[in-house]
Amino acid sequence: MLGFFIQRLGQAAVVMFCTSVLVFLGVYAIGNPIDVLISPDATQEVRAELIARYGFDQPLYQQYFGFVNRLLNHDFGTSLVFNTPVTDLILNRLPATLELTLVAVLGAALLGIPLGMYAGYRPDSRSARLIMAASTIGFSVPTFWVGLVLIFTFSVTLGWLPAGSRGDTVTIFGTQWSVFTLDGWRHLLLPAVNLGLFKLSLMIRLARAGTRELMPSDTVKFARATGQSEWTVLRHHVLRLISLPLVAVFGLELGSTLAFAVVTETIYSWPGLGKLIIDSIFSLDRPVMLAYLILVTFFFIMINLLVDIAYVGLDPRLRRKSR
Amino acid sequence: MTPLLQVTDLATHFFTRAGALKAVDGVSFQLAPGEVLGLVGESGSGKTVTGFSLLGLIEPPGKIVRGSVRFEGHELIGMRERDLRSIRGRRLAMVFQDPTMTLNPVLTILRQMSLALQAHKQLSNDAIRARCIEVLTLVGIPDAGSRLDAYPHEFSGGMRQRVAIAIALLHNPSLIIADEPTTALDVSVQAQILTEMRDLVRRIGTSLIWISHDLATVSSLADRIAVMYAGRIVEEGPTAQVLKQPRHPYTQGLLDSLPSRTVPGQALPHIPGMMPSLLDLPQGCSYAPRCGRADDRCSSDPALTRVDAGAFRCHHPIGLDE
Amino acid sequence: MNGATPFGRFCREFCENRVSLAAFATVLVLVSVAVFAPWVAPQNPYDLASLILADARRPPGFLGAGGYTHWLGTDAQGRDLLSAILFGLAISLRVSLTAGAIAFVLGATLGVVAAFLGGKIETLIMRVVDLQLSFPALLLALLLAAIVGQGKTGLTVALVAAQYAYFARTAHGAAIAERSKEYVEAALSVPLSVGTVVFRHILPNCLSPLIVVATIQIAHAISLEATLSFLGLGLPPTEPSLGTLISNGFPYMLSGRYWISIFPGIVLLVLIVGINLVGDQVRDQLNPRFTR
Repeated sequence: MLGFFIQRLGQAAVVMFCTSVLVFLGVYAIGNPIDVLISPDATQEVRAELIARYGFDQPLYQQYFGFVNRLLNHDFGTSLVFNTPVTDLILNRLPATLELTLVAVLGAALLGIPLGMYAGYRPDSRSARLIMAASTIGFSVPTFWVGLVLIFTFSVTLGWLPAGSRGDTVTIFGTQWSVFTLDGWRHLLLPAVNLGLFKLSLMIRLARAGTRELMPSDTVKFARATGQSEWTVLRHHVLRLISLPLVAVFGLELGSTLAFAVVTETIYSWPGLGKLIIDSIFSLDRPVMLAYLILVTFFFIMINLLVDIAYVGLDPRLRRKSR
Repeated sequence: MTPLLQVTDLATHFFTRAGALKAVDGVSFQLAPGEVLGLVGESGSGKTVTGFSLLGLIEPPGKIVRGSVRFEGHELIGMRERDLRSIRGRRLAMVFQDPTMTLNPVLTILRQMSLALQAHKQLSNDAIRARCIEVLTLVGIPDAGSRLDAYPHEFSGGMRQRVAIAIALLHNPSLIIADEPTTALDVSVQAQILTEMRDLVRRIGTSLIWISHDLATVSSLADRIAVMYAGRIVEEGPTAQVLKQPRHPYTQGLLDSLPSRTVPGQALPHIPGMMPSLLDLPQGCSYAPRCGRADDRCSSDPALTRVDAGAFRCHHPIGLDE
Repeated sequence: MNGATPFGRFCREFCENRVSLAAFATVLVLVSVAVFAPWVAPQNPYDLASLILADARRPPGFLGAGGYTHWLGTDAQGRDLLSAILFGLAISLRVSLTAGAIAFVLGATLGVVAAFLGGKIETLIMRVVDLQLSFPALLLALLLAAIVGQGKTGLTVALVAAQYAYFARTAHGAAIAERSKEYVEAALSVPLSVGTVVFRHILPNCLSPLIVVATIQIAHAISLEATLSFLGLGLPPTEPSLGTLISNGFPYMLSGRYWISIFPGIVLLVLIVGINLVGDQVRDQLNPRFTR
C-alpha cells in the first residue's frame, strides 16, 4: 500500500515538473517576459530592479531554477493591476471559491445519489421518469443561462434572494467564511445551486445507471434470497458497489466544477478566484494568470491522487496483499 | 407424514415484447423432510426459474401465474412480501451457481455473513463471529476465524462456494435449494463439494433440492429425481427407479448420452434437435418433435400418469407401451 | 424496401420514439432558420446603418420606426432581437460545428494512428490525451482564448483543443480492439498497405463509438462556445453569437428588460436540449448492450 502511494506521489511530482516547464516556456512563447511580467509604466529603476530580481538577464536554465525557487517560496510576483503580491491576492479570494465549490459539490452528491438510486430502483415509476427528465435538462442547460434564470426568478421577480456578492462572513483562523452566517447562506444559495446543477444531474444519471445495472445482478438476488430487506440491499450492497464509478467521476468532475465556478462567480459577482481570473484575462494581468494556471494544475494533480487513493480504499480487489 | 414442501401446478410466465415465455408451465412435486430431490434438465428447461419461484424471487416481466407452494404448512404464493422475507434465508435458503457473482466483492466475508444473519436475528458482535466460525468450519473451511476478515477474491472458487453454502446454513433452514452449485467449479472440486454436501445434509437433516443439467452428478446424492423439459416435469421417481427403468424417452436419451454408459470407440449418442422455444411451444407433447417414438397420439398433451413410486408424462412410455 | 438497409432500420426505430422525433424536428427547424437567416430575418443586424438607436431596448411586440414589428423586442443598440437571434444562431452553429468537425477528424486520426504505430509513440500520444482529458474543457478554452485573443480563430482553436481529446481517446480504444481482430492480419498479409487497411477497414468499424461521442460533443461545443462568448472571450461584439447576446442583455435584466437576455437564452436552451435528446436516442440505438 505504501509503495503504491509513493509511486503515485512520484508520478504527481513528475507531472508538476512538466507543467512548470511548460508554463515557464509558455511565458516566453507569449512574448518577452520582461514585458509580460513587468508593468509597462514601471520606471527605469523599478525595471532594473525587477530584471535583477527575476534574473531576466541570466541564461535560460538559471532563470528556470529561479522560477522554481520562487514558486516554492510562494512568490508569484506582483499583480500588474492591483500592485499587490499575487500570493496575497489569491489567498484572499480562495476561501470564497472554496466554500462555493464545496457547498455546490456536496449538495450535488448528497442529493443526487439518493435520487439517482431511487430512479434506478424503480425505473418505470412516474417519479423516476420525472427525475430523469429533470436531470436531462439540468445536464444540457449551460451554466450561465441557469444563473440568469435563477437571478431573474428569485431576485428580480420574486425578490426573495439577493442577486449577487457574498454575504456576511465569520473569521476563522484568519480567513473569512460565509457559510456560518444566515446572511451568508442567503447569498450562497443561488450561486451554489447554479454551480451544482450540472453535477447534480450527472450524479443522478450515474447513480441511476449503476443501480439499474446492479438490481438484476446475482449479488442482489443472493442478498435477497438470504432475507435481507430492500433497504439493506440498497444501502450495504448497491451503494457500496456503485460508489466506485461514482467516486471516479466525482473526482474528475470536481475539476470541471472549479472551472465553471469562473462563470458562476462572474454572474453573481462572487469575490472568488474565478472572477479574479476573468478580470485578469481582460486586464492582461499575466502574473495572476500564471499563478492561477500553476495553482489549478496543482489542484488537479491532487484531486487525481486522492481519487486514486479513494479507489483503492473502496475496491479491495485493487489492493495487493502481502500475506 | 406431511411433506415439507408441496408444489402443485406451479406456472411462471415471462411477459416479453415477443410474447409470453412459459418458463414453468404446470410443475408439481413434493418433498419430505430430510429428502434430497434432484431436479434435472437442460438449459432453458425451467429448472432455475422453478427454484426462484419457490423463493418468490421472480421479477417483472416474470410472474407466477398460477399454482400453489405449501412449505411447512404455509402457502407461499400470494404471501405478503414481509412474511416471505422472514422465511427466505431462515427456513428456506438458496445457493447459486457462480459464487464469484453472488458474493459481494467489496465486503468482507464476515460483513456479508453478518448481514445475512442480522436479517433475521439481532446478535452481539461476538455472537455473530462465533456463529460464522461455526458454519464455516462445518462446510470445511480451515482456520475459519482468520478467514473472516478476508475478501471473496482472496478465496479459490471452491472455497467461495463453501462460503455461499455456509451462508445458506446460518439459520438452520429446513430446505436448501442449490442451483447448479458445482457447475462453475473445477472438476476435482466438484466431486469434493458434492460429497461434502451429501454428508452434511444427511447429518443435519436438511432437505435439499439439487438443480442440475447433469444426471450423473445428481444420481449420486438424490433420493428422488425429477426430469424437466420445456417447463414441465416429464418424469420423476426414486433415483434407482428412474436410472434403471426410465419411462420417458427424454430420460432415456439423457441416460444414453452419459459418457459412462458408452463403449469406448463408439460415437456418443445424443438427442437430435433442440428444445423448442418457450415462446412457441408445439401443440401436444413438447418433446414429440425430437422423439423417436412419437406418432399421431402425441399431438395431444399427455397427462401425468402415476406408476410405482414415480410418475411420467408420455403416450408411449418405455416398457409400458402396448 | 424501407428498412432493408441498416440505415433504414435505424431511421425507422428512431421514428418510433416520439420525443426524440419531435426534438429532431425542432433542431431541424432551428438549423434551417439559421441557414436562411439572411432571407428570413426582417433586419440585418450587422448592418449598422439599419439600426435605429431611438428604438433601443423596446419590449416585444413594439412597432419600430423601420416599419415592422419587433416581435421579440430590440436590444441595447436598437437591433431587432429576432434578427439578432437568427444570425446569432447561425454563427453559433457555424463555429461549433466547424470546430467539432475539425476536432473529430484530428482526434480520430490521432487515436487510430497512435493505436497503429504502437510502442513509445502510442504511449506518448495517449498520455498527452489523458492528461488533457482530466483538465476541464472550459479552463483550457479560457486560457487558450486568452492567449490567442478574441475572434473566430481563437475561439475555434480553443474549441478544437478542448474537444479533440475525447475523439482521440475513443478512436484509440476502438482501434485497439479492431487491431487485434483477424481481418486486419488477413488484410495486411494480402498485402494491403497500412494506410489502406487503416482508412478503408479499421476506421469504418470505429465509427460507431465515435458517433456516440460526437453526439455528446456537439451539444458541449455549442454550450462551450456560448459560455466563452458570454464571458466575452468569444466572438467580437459586432458579430454576436447567442452567448454574446445573452451577455449583452444581462445588465438590463436586473432592471426588468428581460427579453434581451431571455429570448436568446430560450433558443439556445431548446437547441441544446433538442440535440441532447436526439443524441440520447442515437446512443441508445447504437448501444449493443440494449437488446431489442
